[in-house]
Amino acid sequence: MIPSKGAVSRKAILDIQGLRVQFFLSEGTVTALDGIDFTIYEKETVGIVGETGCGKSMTAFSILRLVPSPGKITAGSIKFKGHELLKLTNDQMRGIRGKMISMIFQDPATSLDPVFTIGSQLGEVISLHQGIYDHAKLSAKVLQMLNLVKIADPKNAMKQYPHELSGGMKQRVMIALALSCSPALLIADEPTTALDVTIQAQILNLLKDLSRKTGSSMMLITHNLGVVAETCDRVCIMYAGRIVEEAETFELFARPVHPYTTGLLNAFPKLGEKKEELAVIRGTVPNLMIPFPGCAFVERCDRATDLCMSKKPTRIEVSPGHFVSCHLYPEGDEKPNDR
Amino acid sequence: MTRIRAGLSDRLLSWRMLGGARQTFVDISTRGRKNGMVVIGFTIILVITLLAVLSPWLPIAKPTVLSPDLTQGPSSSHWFGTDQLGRDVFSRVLWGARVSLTVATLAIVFSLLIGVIMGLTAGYYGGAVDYVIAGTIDLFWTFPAFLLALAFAAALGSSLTNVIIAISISYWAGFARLMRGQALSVRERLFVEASRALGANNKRIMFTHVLPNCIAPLIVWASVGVADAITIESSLSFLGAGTQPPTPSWGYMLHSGLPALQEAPWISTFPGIVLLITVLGFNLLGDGLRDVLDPRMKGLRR
Repeated sequence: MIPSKGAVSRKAILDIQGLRVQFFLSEGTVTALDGIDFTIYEKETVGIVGETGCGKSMTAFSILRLVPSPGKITAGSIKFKGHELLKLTNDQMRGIRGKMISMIFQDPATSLDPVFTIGSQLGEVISLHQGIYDHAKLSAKVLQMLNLVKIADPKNAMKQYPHELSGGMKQRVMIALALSCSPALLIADEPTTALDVTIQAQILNLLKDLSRKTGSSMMLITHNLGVVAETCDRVCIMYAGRIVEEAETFELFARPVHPYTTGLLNAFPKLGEKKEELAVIRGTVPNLMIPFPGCAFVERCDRATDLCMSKKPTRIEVSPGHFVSCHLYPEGDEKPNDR
Repeated sequence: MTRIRAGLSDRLLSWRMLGGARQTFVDISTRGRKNGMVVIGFTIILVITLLAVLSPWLPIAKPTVLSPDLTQGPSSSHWFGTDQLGRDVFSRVLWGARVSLTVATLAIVFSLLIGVIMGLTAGYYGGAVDYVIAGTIDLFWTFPAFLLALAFAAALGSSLTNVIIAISISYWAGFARLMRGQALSVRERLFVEASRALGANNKRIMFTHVLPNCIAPLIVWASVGVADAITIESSLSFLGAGTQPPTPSWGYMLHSGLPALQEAPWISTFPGIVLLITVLGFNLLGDGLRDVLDPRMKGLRR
């Protein structure tokens, strides 16, 4: 991915500001997302990277307003093409889901209804959002979608049940479902995690191709930095419900600034490099139930200072398009002070 | 709303759906034919239903016609003998089957309707809705179905309609309980989340995704339920709270043959045997369907 410089004039598809999601449990309040800001522009692929439980999927569910109870969006705004999603009625929101914002799930084996054929499930989404009820038109459209996702023998596949297809084929069907109404934004929640490594690349290439063809933006959630390097234009690194660093892919891999990002990249083996032992980030993720006044990463950070313990870092731009939330980079200082 | 409804009816009518349903039906019937219990159960039910339906046109005596042959044993003219009033027991058994099967089937259909709607709503929505409905289900579940049916039949007065109502009221809780449990587990599955993320509303998810995934155990329960309902109907009639004479019914025949059990055992024995076989047939079918409808057997084509 060659980063496109001077990205000021691009049109924002999705603009999230200060999003906070909290779960009110009997044991206490868990802050799953703690003030997320990021933007997805037209025709771009943004990767959301982070470890398990850092709030990647919760960000996706918040965008669709499907945060599972007892979770609630308690603050912030989500603007989709300039419209505030959090202010829409449930009916309006349903019209957006699947039509303008679609989502692909991690496990294709369970995200299709086992009792209906592939054709009837695709047909359901198409008639629901596009009002096509004519059988001939509908089946033509279904066939066209199955062809688009390169399913072998689509005519036969239409009549098959999910359990008769392989994992990769099921994920292709899910992609067809998600793209059937040419959404402006496609959210892919770890679309390749449950698949074979050989299939992963195929699916990623397919996603990349299709989002380019349909002109939709994509939000790719993953914990695999290799996937990000291959597919994404920009990357957001999440940690404990916050976005710690955001940059164009090339920039991020070349000049990571947040200690967590550096740690992640060090923990990632590189081709042709012989390592006896992979670097690890010491410690574990903090308990999100205990509110912390400072930086969430403080206990695992080698360069933490007293300030990191007491004050939450703000998001600053270290170079154009490269944002970081870390006290090592004080506001107004464009250059990292100890690198 | 109208769009959704149009979509639903269209969906049910679409050839692809029919194609899928036809395929499923073919699958199930091929597997069913290889299951001994289903074959035996289905044959019994088919024979008895056919005899019951065709009884007005069969060359047998009318069930209410009195003949001069009182309390006669089985013979070539009266296969099952005659009762104390000279009525043909064979004919009365067949005509009784009409009553028993109709009452049982209708009662189960109504129980199924109430049970599915209540259970699906409770299981799918959860929370306060579930609390209220599950409480109601438990309240009905506390009483044995037969006692409840007896109480309602006695309170409503005995007529065919009231027997159906009484059985439905006492039996729906079982279906609701089953449906609720199924819905609770199905709603957690990823494809429900996925269809929500693709813009489906609750009603659509409930009826086009959750319900079809729970249909197998419901069919099994319904089959066993018909057997139960036949027993309850006969018991009610036996106790005099069900079908009233002169309408022939198995329960009442058992009851009326009781005083003459030693001299003329055929009067109660034959209805009893037919009742037993019918109940057995529905139970066998239910048990066999449990195996046939198991989704894990779907891929196995032995």
